[in-house]
Amino acid sequence: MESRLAAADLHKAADTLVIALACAGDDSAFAEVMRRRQARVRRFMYYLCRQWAMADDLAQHVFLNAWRSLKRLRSAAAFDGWLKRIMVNTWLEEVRRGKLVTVTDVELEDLAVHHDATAAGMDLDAALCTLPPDMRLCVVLAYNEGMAHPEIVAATGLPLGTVKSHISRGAARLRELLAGYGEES
Amino acid sequence: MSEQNDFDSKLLARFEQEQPRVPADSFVAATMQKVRAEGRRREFMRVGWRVAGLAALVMASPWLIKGVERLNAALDSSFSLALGQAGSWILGALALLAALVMRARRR
Repeated sequence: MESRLAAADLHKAADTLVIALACAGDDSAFAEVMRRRQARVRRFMYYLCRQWAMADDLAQHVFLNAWRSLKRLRSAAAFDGWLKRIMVNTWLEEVRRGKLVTVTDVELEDLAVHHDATAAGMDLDAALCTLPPDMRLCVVLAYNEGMAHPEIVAATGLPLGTVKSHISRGAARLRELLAGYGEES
Repeated sequence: MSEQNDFDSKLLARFEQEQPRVPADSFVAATMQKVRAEGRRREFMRVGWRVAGLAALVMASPWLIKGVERLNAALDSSFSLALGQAGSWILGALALLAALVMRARRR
């Protein structure tokens, strides 16, 4: 479908208008929505899988799934929550396929050596990688996406007790791995 | 984030400070290419299903015509029965029965 707004106008347009146009089948508006959200989605996936190539593949799946079901979105205001659910489902499908690897402590030492040489700030990604996928997801949703426990329960379908335990045990594990991180910041 | 979640504030700060840098590449263009390809595939499938439906209709038309002829004959015979004297009595009795049932239900 041809865009109802010129590219320059789309760049400046309010989020709700662009989303509404995308919902009406405007592909240029959808591209603009993607341009505005892509960094967040790719970063989220990167935190979970720690490989940019895989993160980008998963992010592409997220946007393709979003495009497929865009007509079912009831209101533009609900877009971000809806996209977050697609992100979580895409990740959970990937976990179910069983292609993901959890880094062991020995591998983590190698990662730490590698990252010390490049950028100290990347230790967090390496530490996240050691958590089991479900725990990693809960920690990233809580700490990176700023979601509350009930929201995480709704997005992941995990019981509240499990979510709380994943977050607290995951945070403890990260704290242990990133010992001294508090002093740096 | 809600305070009641009691998240580790230092870890939270670390997440905020260490946002991984997203590579500047043609992600949007590459994804839009996939979106457009999917759109074309969908359109192709939609047209394909229509054509297949039309072809199936054309192929089945001899049977459909025969079926319509049989239905027509069956309706003709049932109408002629209903419009005859015996049919009128039966229809009248059925209408009376229906009226009585509806009246009883209203009460």
